[in-house]
Amino acid sequence: MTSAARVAVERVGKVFPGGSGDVQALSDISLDVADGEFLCLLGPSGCGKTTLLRIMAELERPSSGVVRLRHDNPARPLSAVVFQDYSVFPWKTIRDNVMFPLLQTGMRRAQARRVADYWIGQLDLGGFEQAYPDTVSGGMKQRVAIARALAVEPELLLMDEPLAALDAQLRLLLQEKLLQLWQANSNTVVFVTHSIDEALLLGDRIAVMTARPGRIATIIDVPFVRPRDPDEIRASPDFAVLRDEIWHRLKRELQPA
Amino acid sequence: MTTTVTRRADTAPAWREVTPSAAELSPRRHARRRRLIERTLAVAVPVALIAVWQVLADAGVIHGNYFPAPVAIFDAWIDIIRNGIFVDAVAASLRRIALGYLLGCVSALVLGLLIGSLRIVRVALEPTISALYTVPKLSILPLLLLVFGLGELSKVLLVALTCFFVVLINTIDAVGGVPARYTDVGRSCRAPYWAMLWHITLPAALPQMLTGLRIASGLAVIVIVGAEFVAANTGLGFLTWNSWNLGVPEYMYVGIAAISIIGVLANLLLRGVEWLLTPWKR
Repeated sequence: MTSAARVAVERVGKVFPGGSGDVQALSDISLDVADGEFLCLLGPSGCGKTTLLRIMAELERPSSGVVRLRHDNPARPLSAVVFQDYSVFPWKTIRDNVMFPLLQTGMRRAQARRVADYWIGQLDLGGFEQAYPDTVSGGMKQRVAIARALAVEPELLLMDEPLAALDAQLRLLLQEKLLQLWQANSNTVVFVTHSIDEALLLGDRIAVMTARPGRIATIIDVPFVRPRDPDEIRASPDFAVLRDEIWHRLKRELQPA
Repeated sequence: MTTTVTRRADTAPAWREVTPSAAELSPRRHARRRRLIERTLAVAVPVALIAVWQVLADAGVIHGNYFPAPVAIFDAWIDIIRNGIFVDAVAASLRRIALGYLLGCVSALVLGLLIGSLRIVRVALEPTISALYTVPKLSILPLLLLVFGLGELSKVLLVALTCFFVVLINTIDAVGGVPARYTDVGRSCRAPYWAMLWHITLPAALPQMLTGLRIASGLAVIVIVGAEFVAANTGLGFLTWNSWNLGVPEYMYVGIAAISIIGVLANLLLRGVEWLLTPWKR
Protein backbone atom coordinates (compact mmCIF):
# COMPACT_ATOMS: atom_id res chain seq x y z
CA MET A 1 0.00 0.00 0.00
CA THR A 2 1.16 3.52 -0.73
CA SER A 3 -0.61 5.35 2.09
CA ALA A 4 -0.36 4.24 5.67
CA ALA A 5 -2.42 1.15 6.44
CA ARG A 6 -5.21 1.40 8.99
CA VAL A 7 -5.85 -2.33 9.02
CA ALA A 8 -3.32 -4.99 8.07
CA VAL A 9 -4.69 -8.50 7.64
CA GLU A 10 -1.88 -11.03 7.40
CA ARG A 11 -2.43 -14.65 6.38
CA VAL A 12 -5.62 -14.90 8.39
CA GLY A 13 -7.48 -18.20 8.61
CA LYS A 14 -10.60 -19.03 10.58
CA VAL A 15 -11.97 -22.47 11.35
CA PHE A 16 -15.28 -23.01 13.12
CA PRO A 17 -15.33 -26.39 14.82
CA GLY A 18 -18.66 -28.10 14.16
CA GLY A 19 -20.48 -31.31 14.94
CA SER A 20 -20.32 -32.55 11.34
CA GLY A 21 -16.71 -31.55 10.80
CA ASP A 22 -14.84 -28.29 10.96
CA VAL A 23 -15.82 -25.43 8.67
CA GLN A 24 -13.00 -23.48 7.08
CA ALA A 25 -14.54 -20.00 6.90
CA LEU A 26 -11.42 -18.06 5.91
CA SER A 27 -8.22 -19.26 4.38
CA ASP A 28 -4.98 -17.34 4.04
CA ILE A 29 -6.44 -13.85 3.75
CA SER A 30 -4.00 -10.97 3.37
CA LEU A 31 -5.35 -7.48 2.89
CA ASP A 32 -4.49 -3.90 3.79
CA VAL A 33 -7.04 -1.19 4.36
CA ALA A 34 -5.52 2.24 3.79
CA ASP A 35 -6.18 5.19 6.05
CA GLY A 36 -9.29 7.06 4.86
CA GLU A 37 -10.16 4.35 2.37
CA PHE A 38 -13.64 2.95 1.68
CA LEU A 39 -13.07 -0.76 1.11
CA CYS A 40 -15.87 -3.10 0.10
CA LEU A 41 -15.77 -6.81 0.84
CA LEU A 42 -17.88 -8.41 -1.88
CA GLY A 43 -18.78 -12.04 -2.17
CA PRO A 44 -21.51 -14.66 -2.23
CA SER A 45 -23.26 -15.51 1.03
CA GLY A 46 -21.23 -17.87 3.15
CA CYS A 47 -17.89 -16.64 1.83
CA GLY A 48 -16.77 -15.50 5.26
CA LYS A 49 -16.90 -11.77 4.64
CA THR A 50 -18.85 -11.20 7.84
CA THR A 51 -16.37 -13.35 9.74
CA LEU A 52 -13.49 -11.23 8.45
CA LEU A 53 -15.32 -8.08 9.51
CA ARG A 54 -16.05 -9.52 12.95
CA ILE A 55 -12.35 -10.28 13.41
CA MET A 56 -11.56 -6.65 12.53
CA ALA A 57 -14.18 -5.61 15.11
CA GLU A 58 -12.44 -7.84 17.70
CA LEU A 59 -15.66 -9.82 18.14
CA GLU A 60 -13.87 -12.97 16.95
CA ARG A 61 -10.24 -14.07 16.89
CA PRO A 62 -8.52 -15.60 13.89
CA SER A 63 -7.54 -19.29 14.02
CA SER A 64 -4.27 -18.39 12.36
CA GLY A 65 -2.50 -15.28 11.18
CA VAL A 66 -2.86 -11.79 12.61
CA VAL A 67 -4.95 -8.65 12.11
CA ARG A 68 -3.25 -5.38 13.05
CA LEU A 69 -5.45 -2.38 13.78
CA ARG A 70 -3.89 1.08 14.04
CA HIS A 71 -5.33 3.29 16.77
CA ASP A 72 -4.03 6.87 16.51
CA ASN A 73 -6.15 8.89 18.87
CA PRO A 74 -7.05 7.30 22.20
CA ALA A 75 -9.78 9.94 22.62
CA ARG A 76 -11.67 8.38 19.69
CA PRO A 77 -12.82 4.76 19.68
CA LEU A 78 -10.83 2.48 17.41
CA SER A 79 -13.86 1.02 15.68
CA ALA A 80 -17.63 0.95 15.56
CA VAL A 81 -19.86 -1.60 13.85
CA VAL A 82 -23.13 -1.32 11.95
CA PHE A 83 -24.60 -4.81 12.11
CA GLN A 84 -26.48 -6.80 9.52
CA ASP A 85 -29.85 -7.34 11.12
CA TYR A 86 -31.64 -4.93 13.33
CA SER A 87 -29.34 -4.66 16.28
CA VAL A 88 -31.08 -1.52 17.51
CA PHE A 89 -32.21 -2.00 21.12
CA PRO A 90 -36.03 -2.17 21.12
CA TRP A 91 -36.13 -1.15 24.80
CA LYS A 92 -34.34 2.16 24.26
CA THR A 93 -35.73 5.21 22.51
CA ILE A 94 -33.97 6.25 19.33
CA ARG A 95 -32.06 8.92 21.23
CA ASP A 96 -30.99 6.49 23.96
CA ASN A 97 -29.87 3.99 21.33
CA VAL A 98 -27.53 6.54 19.78
CA MET A 99 -26.38 7.73 23.21
CA PHE A 100 -25.44 4.26 24.45
CA PRO A 101 -22.02 3.92 22.77
CA LEU A 102 -21.23 7.58 23.48
CA LEU A 103 -21.77 7.01 27.20
CA GLN A 104 -19.48 3.97 27.04
CA THR A 105 -16.68 6.27 25.85
CA GLY A 106 -17.05 8.19 29.12
CA MET A 107 -18.88 11.16 27.62
CA ARG A 108 -21.16 13.12 29.97
CA ARG A 109 -24.91 12.69 29.46
CA ALA A 110 -25.64 16.26 28.40
CA GLN A 111 -22.96 16.21 25.74
CA ALA A 112 -23.84 12.68 24.61
CA ARG A 113 -27.39 13.91 24.13
CA ARG A 114 -26.24 16.83 21.97
CA VAL A 115 -24.02 14.58 19.86
CA ALA A 116 -26.77 11.97 19.51
CA ASP A 117 -29.31 14.57 18.42
CA TYR A 118 -26.86 15.93 15.84
CA TRP A 119 -26.42 12.48 14.24
CA ILE A 120 -30.12 11.74 14.48
CA GLY A 121 -30.59 14.90 12.42
CA GLN A 122 -27.87 13.87 9.98
CA LEU A 123 -29.75 10.65 9.24
CA ASP A 124 -33.05 12.50 8.83
CA LEU A 125 -34.54 11.05 11.99
CA GLY A 126 -35.25 14.43 13.63
CA GLY A 127 -38.54 14.41 15.54
CA PHE A 128 -38.24 10.69 16.36
CA GLU A 129 -35.77 11.07 19.25
CA GLN A 130 -38.31 9.83 21.81
CA ALA A 131 -39.83 7.09 19.66
CA TYR A 132 -39.17 3.42 20.34
CA PRO A 133 -37.60 1.58 17.38
CA ASP A 134 -40.50 -0.86 16.98
CA THR A 135 -42.82 2.05 16.24
CA VAL A 136 -40.83 3.18 13.19
CA SER A 137 -40.11 1.58 9.81
CA GLY A 138 -37.29 -0.87 9.03
CA GLY A 139 -35.44 1.76 7.03
CA MET A 140 -35.54 4.16 9.96
CA LYS A 141 -34.34 1.48 12.35
CA GLN A 142 -31.33 0.80 10.18
CA ARG A 143 -30.60 4.53 10.03
CA VAL A 144 -30.58 4.49 13.84
CA ALA A 145 -27.98 1.71 13.70
CA ILE A 146 -25.88 3.81 11.32
CA ALA A 147 -26.24 6.96 13.45
CA ARG A 148 -25.22 4.95 16.51
CA ALA A 149 -21.98 3.86 14.86
CA LEU A 150 -21.16 7.22 13.26
CA ALA A 151 -21.83 9.21 16.45
CA VAL A 152 -18.74 7.93 18.24
CA GLU A 153 -16.60 9.04 15.26
CA PRO A 154 -14.54 5.87 15.16
CA GLU A 155 -11.21 5.72 13.35
CA LEU A 156 -12.49 2.60 11.61
CA LEU A 157 -16.13 2.12 10.64
CA LEU A 158 -17.16 -1.49 10.02
CA MET A 159 -20.43 -2.10 8.22
CA ASP A 160 -21.89 -5.58 7.76
CA GLU A 161 -24.48 -5.43 4.96
CA PRO A 162 -26.18 -2.49 6.62
CA LEU A 163 -28.68 -2.07 3.80
CA ALA A 164 -29.37 -5.73 2.98
CA ALA A 165 -32.73 -5.92 4.72
CA LEU A 166 -34.18 -2.86 3.00
CA ASP A 167 -36.31 -2.70 -0.11
CA ALA A 168 -34.68 -1.61 -3.37
CA GLN A 169 -35.84 2.02 -3.39
CA LEU A 170 -34.96 2.64 0.23
CA ARG A 171 -31.62 1.05 -0.38
CA LEU A 172 -30.78 3.50 -3.17
CA LEU A 173 -31.69 6.43 -0.95
CA LEU A 174 -29.58 5.20 1.95
CA GLN A 175 -26.64 4.49 -0.35
CA GLU A 176 -26.75 8.13 -1.36
CA LYS A 177 -26.95 9.16 2.26
CA LEU A 178 -23.95 7.03 3.19
CA LEU A 179 -21.96 8.39 0.29
CA GLN A 180 -22.78 11.93 1.33
CA LEU A 181 -21.92 11.30 5.00
CA TRP A 182 -18.69 9.51 4.18
CA GLN A 183 -17.59 12.27 1.82
CA ALA A 184 -18.16 14.78 4.60
CA ASN A 185 -16.45 12.78 7.37
CA SER A 186 -14.02 10.42 5.59
CA ASN A 187 -13.51 7.71 8.17
CA THR A 188 -11.84 4.54 7.08
CA VAL A 189 -14.64 2.16 6.16
CA VAL A 190 -14.83 -1.57 5.61
CA PHE A 191 -18.19 -2.35 4.05
CA VAL A 192 -19.46 -5.89 3.58
CA THR A 193 -22.00 -6.39 0.81
CA HIS A 194 -23.19 -8.93 -1.72
CA SER A 195 -24.39 -6.24 -4.11
CA ILE A 196 -21.99 -5.44 -6.96
CA ASP A 197 -23.73 -2.12 -7.67
CA GLU A 198 -23.45 -1.05 -4.07
CA ALA A 199 -19.76 -1.93 -3.93
CA LEU A 200 -19.02 -0.01 -7.13
CA LEU A 201 -20.99 2.98 -6.00
CA LEU A 202 -19.49 3.27 -2.54
CA GLY A 203 -16.03 1.71 -2.61
CA ASP A 204 -12.56 2.97 -3.46
CA ARG A 205 -11.52 -0.65 -3.82
CA ILE A 206 -13.46 -3.88 -3.90
CA ALA A 207 -12.04 -7.07 -2.46
CA VAL A 208 -13.89 -9.88 -4.25
CA MET A 209 -14.07 -13.02 -2.13
CA THR A 210 -14.60 -16.65 -3.06
CA ALA A 211 -16.71 -19.08 -1.09
CA ARG A 212 -15.71 -22.02 1.13
CA PRO A 213 -13.06 -21.45 2.14
CA GLY A 214 -13.21 -17.67 1.92
CA ARG A 215 -10.28 -16.28 -0.02
CA ILE A 216 -9.61 -12.96 -1.71
CA ALA A 217 -10.06 -13.68 -5.43
CA THR A 218 -9.12 -10.25 -6.68
CA ILE A 219 -8.98 -6.63 -5.65
CA ILE A 220 -10.53 -4.10 -7.99
CA ASP A 221 -9.75 -0.37 -7.99
CA VAL A 222 -12.89 1.64 -8.55
CA PRO A 223 -12.01 4.50 -10.91
CA PHE A 224 -14.86 6.90 -10.18
CA VAL A 225 -13.72 10.25 -8.80
CA ARG A 226 -15.17 11.75 -5.68
CA PRO A 227 -17.42 13.37 -4.78
CA ARG A 228 -19.60 10.84 -6.52
CA ASP A 229 -23.09 11.32 -7.85
CA PRO A 230 -24.89 7.98 -7.68
CA ASP A 231 -27.15 8.62 -10.67
CA GLU A 232 -24.27 9.74 -12.84
CA ILE A 233 -22.18 6.72 -11.88
CA ARG A 234 -24.94 4.22 -12.53
CA ALA A 235 -25.41 5.72 -16.00
CA SER A 236 -21.71 5.70 -16.93
CA PRO A 237 -20.31 3.08 -19.37
CA ASP A 238 -17.43 2.27 -16.96
CA PHE A 239 -20.00 1.18 -14.40
CA ALA A 240 -21.55 -1.36 -16.75
CA VAL A 241 -18.16 -2.72 -17.79
CA LEU A 242 -16.93 -3.13 -14.23
CA ARG A 243 -20.18 -4.66 -13.11
CA ASP A 244 -19.97 -7.22 -15.90
CA GLU A 245 -16.37 -8.03 -15.08
CA ILE A 246 -17.11 -8.60 -11.42
CA TRP A 247 -20.26 -10.54 -12.16
CA HIS A 248 -18.42 -12.99 -14.44
CA ARG A 249 -15.76 -13.41 -11.83
CA LEU A 250 -18.38 -14.18 -9.17
CA LYS A 251 -20.35 -16.44 -11.46
CA ARG A 252 -17.32 -18.66 -11.97
CA GLU A 253 -17.01 -18.97 -8.21
CA LEU A 254 -20.66 -19.79 -7.73
CA GLN A 255 -20.88 -22.46 -10.39
CA PRO A 256 -19.98 -25.96 -9.28
CA ALA A 257 -16.70 -27.11 -10.80
CA MET B 1 -98.60 -24.35 -19.63
CA THR B 2 -97.24 -20.88 -19.10
CA THR B 3 -93.84 -19.96 -20.45
CA THR B 4 -92.00 -18.52 -17.48
CA VAL B 5 -88.84 -20.43 -18.14
CA THR B 6 -85.85 -18.11 -17.95
CA ARG B 7 -82.98 -18.99 -20.16
CA ARG B 8 -79.53 -18.52 -18.82
CA ALA B 9 -78.28 -16.48 -21.77
CA ASP B 10 -81.01 -13.92 -21.23
CA THR B 11 -80.28 -13.09 -17.60
CA ALA B 12 -78.07 -10.13 -16.81
CA PRO B 13 -74.73 -10.98 -15.08
CA ALA B 14 -74.99 -10.91 -11.32
CA TRP B 15 -72.80 -8.33 -9.61
CA ARG B 16 -71.58 -8.84 -6.09
CA GLU B 17 -70.88 -5.57 -4.34
CA VAL B 18 -68.13 -5.25 -1.74
CA THR B 19 -68.94 -2.18 0.28
CA PRO B 20 -68.02 -0.72 3.67
CA SER B 21 -70.05 -2.23 6.50
CA ALA B 22 -71.01 -0.56 9.76
CA ALA B 23 -67.53 -1.33 11.12
CA GLU B 24 -65.86 0.69 8.35
CA LEU B 25 -68.37 3.54 8.29
CA SER B 26 -68.04 4.45 11.95
CA PRO B 27 -64.99 2.51 13.19
CA ARG B 28 -64.76 4.34 16.50
CA ARG B 29 -68.37 3.74 17.49
CA HIS B 30 -68.14 0.17 16.29
CA ALA B 31 -65.03 -0.51 18.36
CA ARG B 32 -66.65 1.04 21.42
CA ARG B 33 -69.75 -1.08 21.01
CA ARG B 34 -67.69 -4.19 20.55
CA ARG B 35 -65.68 -3.48 23.70
CA LEU B 36 -68.88 -2.93 25.63
CA ILE B 37 -70.31 -6.25 24.43
CA GLU B 38 -67.10 -8.10 25.30
CA ARG B 39 -66.93 -6.60 28.78
CA THR B 40 -70.59 -7.28 29.42
CA LEU B 41 -70.10 -10.91 28.40
CA ALA B 42 -67.06 -11.26 30.67
CA VAL B 43 -69.18 -10.21 33.65
CA ALA B 44 -72.50 -11.70 32.55
CA VAL B 45 -71.27 -15.30 32.21
CA PRO B 46 -70.10 -15.76 35.83
CA VAL B 47 -73.15 -13.85 37.10
CA ALA B 48 -75.41 -16.14 35.09
CA LEU B 49 -73.65 -19.24 36.42
CA ILE B 50 -74.14 -18.03 39.99
CA ALA B 51 -77.78 -17.27 39.25
CA VAL B 52 -78.33 -20.79 37.91
CA TRP B 53 -76.69 -22.16 41.04
CA GLN B 54 -79.04 -20.04 43.17
CA VAL B 55 -82.11 -21.21 41.28
CA LEU B 56 -81.07 -24.87 41.54
CA ALA B 57 -80.42 -24.48 45.28
CA ASP B 58 -83.79 -22.78 45.83
CA ALA B 59 -85.52 -25.54 43.90
CA GLY B 60 -83.83 -28.09 46.14
CA VAL B 61 -82.09 -29.77 43.22
CA ILE B 62 -78.67 -29.47 44.83
CA HIS B 63 -77.95 -30.27 48.43
CA GLY B 64 -77.42 -27.21 50.64
CA ASN B 65 -75.10 -29.09 53.02
CA TYR B 66 -72.56 -29.57 50.23
CA PHE B 67 -73.38 -26.71 47.91
CA PRO B 68 -74.94 -23.89 49.88
CA ALA B 69 -76.83 -21.30 47.86
CA PRO B 70 -74.89 -18.20 46.75
CA VAL B 71 -77.10 -16.00 48.90
CA ALA B 72 -76.27 -18.11 51.97
CA ILE B 73 -72.56 -17.87 51.18
CA PHE B 74 -72.88 -14.13 50.76
CA ASP B 75 -74.66 -13.82 54.13
CA ALA B 76 -71.92 -15.86 55.77
CA TRP B 77 -69.34 -13.63 54.12
CA ILE B 78 -71.00 -10.50 55.56
CA ASP B 79 -71.12 -12.17 58.99
CA ILE B 80 -67.42 -12.96 59.15
CA ILE B 81 -66.52 -9.56 57.77
CA ARG B 82 -68.58 -8.00 60.59
CA ASN B 83 -66.99 -10.08 63.34
CA GLY B 84 -63.49 -9.51 61.98
CA ILE B 85 -62.62 -13.15 61.24
CA PHE B 86 -62.45 -12.56 57.52
CA VAL B 87 -60.23 -9.48 57.66
CA ASP B 88 -57.83 -11.25 60.03
CA ALA B 89 -57.67 -14.27 57.76
CA VAL B 90 -57.00 -12.17 54.66
CA ALA B 91 -54.38 -10.10 56.48
CA ALA B 92 -52.57 -13.21 57.75
CA SER B 93 -52.48 -14.86 54.31
CA LEU B 94 -51.53 -11.68 52.47
CA ARG B 95 -48.72 -10.96 54.89
CA ARG B 96 -47.21 -14.42 54.39
CA ILE B 97 -47.62 -14.21 50.63
CA ALA B 98 -46.16 -10.70 50.34
CA LEU B 99 -43.16 -11.32 52.59
CA GLY B 100 -42.35 -14.70 51.06
CA TYR B 101 -42.89 -13.44 47.54
CA LEU B 102 -40.63 -10.42 47.95
CA LEU B 103 -37.91 -12.43 49.69
CA GLY B 104 -37.97 -15.22 47.10
CA CYS B 105 -38.29 -13.06 44.00
CA VAL B 106 -35.75 -10.38 44.83
CA SER B 107 -33.06 -12.89 45.71
CA ALA B 108 -33.89 -14.98 42.62
CA LEU B 109 -33.74 -11.97 40.29
CA VAL B 110 -30.35 -10.83 41.57
CA LEU B 111 -28.85 -14.33 41.61
CA GLY B 112 -30.44 -15.23 38.27
CA LEU B 113 -28.90 -12.21 36.54
CA LEU B 114 -25.46 -13.04 37.89
CA ILE B 115 -25.67 -16.79 37.27
CA GLY B 116 -27.14 -16.35 33.80
CA SER B 117 -24.58 -13.83 32.65
CA LEU B 118 -21.49 -15.67 33.93
CA ARG B 119 -21.11 -18.81 31.87
CA ILE B 120 -18.87 -20.72 34.24
CA VAL B 121 -21.18 -20.11 37.23
CA ARG B 122 -24.15 -21.09 35.12
CA VAL B 123 -22.63 -24.37 34.05
CA ALA B 124 -21.63 -25.14 37.63
CA LEU B 125 -25.04 -24.46 39.19
CA GLU B 126 -27.68 -25.25 36.57
CA PRO B 127 -28.03 -29.03 37.17
CA THR B 128 -28.35 -28.49 40.92
CA ILE B 129 -30.93 -25.75 40.45
CA SER B 130 -32.95 -27.92 38.04
CA ALA B 131 -32.94 -30.78 40.54
CA LEU B 132 -34.07 -28.56 43.41
CA TYR B 133 -36.70 -26.91 41.23
CA THR B 134 -38.52 -30.19 40.66
CA VAL B 135 -38.94 -30.88 44.39
CA PRO B 136 -42.56 -30.02 45.26
CA LYS B 137 -42.06 -27.24 47.77
CA LEU B 138 -45.07 -28.23 49.86
CA SER B 139 -43.31 -31.51 50.55
CA ILE B 140 -40.57 -29.74 52.48
CA LEU B 141 -43.05 -27.98 54.77
CA PRO B 142 -42.51 -30.61 57.49
CA LEU B 143 -38.78 -29.97 57.29
CA LEU B 144 -39.31 -26.23 57.57
CA LEU B 145 -41.62 -26.76 60.54
CA LEU B 146 -39.01 -28.97 62.15
CA VAL B 147 -36.24 -26.41 61.72
CA PHE B 148 -38.11 -23.12 62.16
CA GLY B 149 -41.08 -24.18 64.30
CA LEU B 150 -44.76 -23.48 63.86
CA GLY B 151 -44.35 -19.70 63.64
CA GLU B 152 -44.68 -17.36 60.69
CA LEU B 153 -41.10 -17.86 59.50
CA SER B 154 -41.64 -21.41 58.24
CA LYS B 155 -44.63 -20.33 56.12
CA VAL B 156 -42.91 -17.22 54.75
CA LEU B 157 -39.89 -19.34 53.84
CA LEU B 158 -42.09 -21.90 52.10
CA VAL B 159 -43.57 -19.17 49.89
CA ALA B 160 -40.11 -17.69 49.34
CA LEU B 161 -38.64 -21.04 48.26
CA THR B 162 -41.55 -21.70 45.91
CA CYS B 163 -41.16 -18.31 44.23
CA PHE B 164 -37.36 -18.43 44.30
CA PHE B 165 -36.91 -21.42 42.01
CA VAL B 166 -39.52 -20.43 39.43
CA VAL B 167 -38.14 -16.93 39.14
CA LEU B 168 -34.53 -18.13 39.25
CA ILE B 169 -34.99 -20.62 36.42
CA ASN B 170 -36.89 -18.13 34.28
CA THR B 171 -34.28 -15.44 34.89
CA ILE B 172 -31.31 -17.68 34.09
CA ASP B 173 -33.09 -18.83 30.96
CA ALA B 174 -33.98 -15.30 29.91
CA VAL B 175 -30.46 -14.01 30.50
CA GLY B 176 -28.94 -16.92 28.59
CA GLY B 177 -31.32 -16.30 25.72
CA VAL B 178 -30.38 -12.67 25.09
CA PRO B 179 -29.73 -12.56 21.33
CA ALA B 180 -26.09 -12.17 20.32
CA ARG B 181 -27.02 -9.31 18.01
CA TYR B 182 -27.62 -7.18 21.09
CA THR B 183 -24.66 -8.30 23.16
CA ASP B 184 -22.39 -7.85 20.12
CA VAL B 185 -23.29 -4.16 20.10
CA GLY B 186 -22.19 -3.87 23.71
CA ARG B 187 -18.99 -5.80 23.09
CA SER B 188 -18.13 -3.72 20.04
CA CYS B 189 -18.55 -0.56 22.18
CA ARG B 190 -16.28 -2.16 24.79
CA ALA B 191 -19.00 -1.71 27.40
CA PRO B 192 -17.97 -3.01 30.84
CA TYR B 193 -19.78 -5.95 32.50
CA TRP B 194 -22.13 -3.81 34.62
CA ALA B 195 -23.10 -1.59 31.68
CA MET B 196 -23.86 -4.69 29.59
CA LEU B 197 -25.95 -6.10 32.45
CA TRP B 198 -27.93 -2.88 33.00
CA HIS B 199 -28.35 -1.63 29.42
CA ILE B 200 -28.60 -4.88 27.47
CA THR B 201 -29.02 -8.09 29.46
CA LEU B 202 -31.61 -6.84 31.95
CA PRO B 203 -34.00 -5.13 29.50
CA ALA B 204 -33.64 -7.93 26.93
CA ALA B 205 -34.43 -10.54 29.58
CA LEU B 206 -37.08 -8.50 31.38
CA PRO B 207 -40.21 -9.78 29.58
CA GLN B 208 -39.43 -13.42 30.42
CA MET B 209 -38.35 -12.50 33.94
CA LEU B 210 -41.73 -10.80 34.43
CA THR B 211 -43.50 -13.93 33.22
CA GLY B 212 -41.62 -15.82 35.92
CA LEU B 213 -42.76 -13.27 38.49
CA ARG B 214 -46.36 -13.69 37.40
CA ILE B 215 -46.24 -17.49 37.59
CA ALA B 216 -44.62 -17.21 41.01
CA SER B 217 -47.48 -15.07 42.32
CA GLY B 218 -49.97 -17.80 41.44
CA LEU B 219 -47.82 -20.48 43.04
CA ALA B 220 -47.39 -18.36 46.17
CA VAL B 221 -51.17 -18.31 46.68
CA ILE B 222 -51.47 -22.06 46.06
CA VAL B 223 -48.69 -23.02 48.43
CA ILE B 224 -49.74 -20.74 51.30
CA VAL B 225 -53.23 -22.25 51.26
CA GLY B 226 -51.71 -25.71 51.46
CA ALA B 227 -49.51 -24.68 54.37
CA GLU B 228 -52.38 -23.01 56.20
CA PHE B 229 -54.50 -26.16 55.90
CA VAL B 230 -52.14 -28.08 58.13
CA ALA B 231 -49.83 -25.69 59.95
CA ALA B 232 -51.68 -22.52 60.90
CA ASN B 233 -54.59 -21.27 62.92
CA THR B 234 -55.03 -18.08 60.91
CA GLY B 235 -55.34 -17.30 57.23
CA LEU B 236 -57.72 -18.12 54.39
CA GLY B 237 -56.39 -21.67 54.08
CA PHE B 238 -57.14 -22.25 57.76
CA LEU B 239 -60.61 -20.68 57.39
CA THR B 240 -61.42 -23.01 54.49
CA TRP B 241 -60.06 -26.11 56.20
CA ASN B 242 -61.61 -25.34 59.58
CA SER B 243 -65.09 -24.74 58.15
CA TRP B 244 -65.16 -28.45 57.39
CA ASN B 245 -64.36 -29.24 61.04
CA LEU B 246 -67.02 -26.81 62.17
CA GLY B 247 -69.57 -28.11 59.68
CA VAL B 248 -70.16 -24.66 58.17
CA PRO B 249 -69.74 -25.20 54.41
CA GLU B 250 -70.56 -21.52 53.69
CA TYR B 251 -67.22 -20.46 55.21
CA MET B 252 -65.43 -22.92 53.01
CA TYR B 253 -66.82 -21.21 49.92
CA VAL B 254 -65.98 -17.78 51.28
CA GLY B 255 -62.39 -18.95 51.73
CA ILE B 256 -62.18 -20.47 48.27
CA ALA B 257 -63.66 -17.36 46.63
CA ALA B 258 -61.36 -15.02 48.55
CA ILE B 259 -58.29 -17.07 47.62
CA SER B 260 -59.13 -16.97 43.94
CA ILE B 261 -59.85 -13.23 44.13
CA ILE B 262 -56.39 -12.70 45.65
CA GLY B 263 -54.87 -14.72 42.82
CA VAL B 264 -56.67 -12.66 40.17
CA LEU B 265 -55.71 -9.36 41.82
CA ALA B 266 -52.06 -10.41 42.12
CA ASN B 267 -52.05 -11.26 38.43
CA LEU B 268 -53.60 -7.88 37.55
CA LEU B 269 -51.11 -6.07 39.75
CA LEU B 270 -48.19 -7.78 38.03
CA ARG B 271 -49.61 -7.01 34.61
CA GLY B 272 -49.58 -3.38 35.73
CA VAL B 273 -45.96 -3.68 36.82
CA GLU B 274 -45.15 -5.23 33.46
CA TRP B 275 -46.84 -2.32 31.68
CA LEU B 276 -44.80 0.15 33.72
CA LEU B 277 -41.46 -1.59 33.29
CA THR B 278 -41.64 -2.36 29.57
CA PRO B 279 -42.81 0.89 27.96
CA TRP B 280 -41.47 -0.22 24.56
CA LYS B 281 -44.02 -3.06 24.46
CA ARG B 282 -47.07 -0.87 24.88
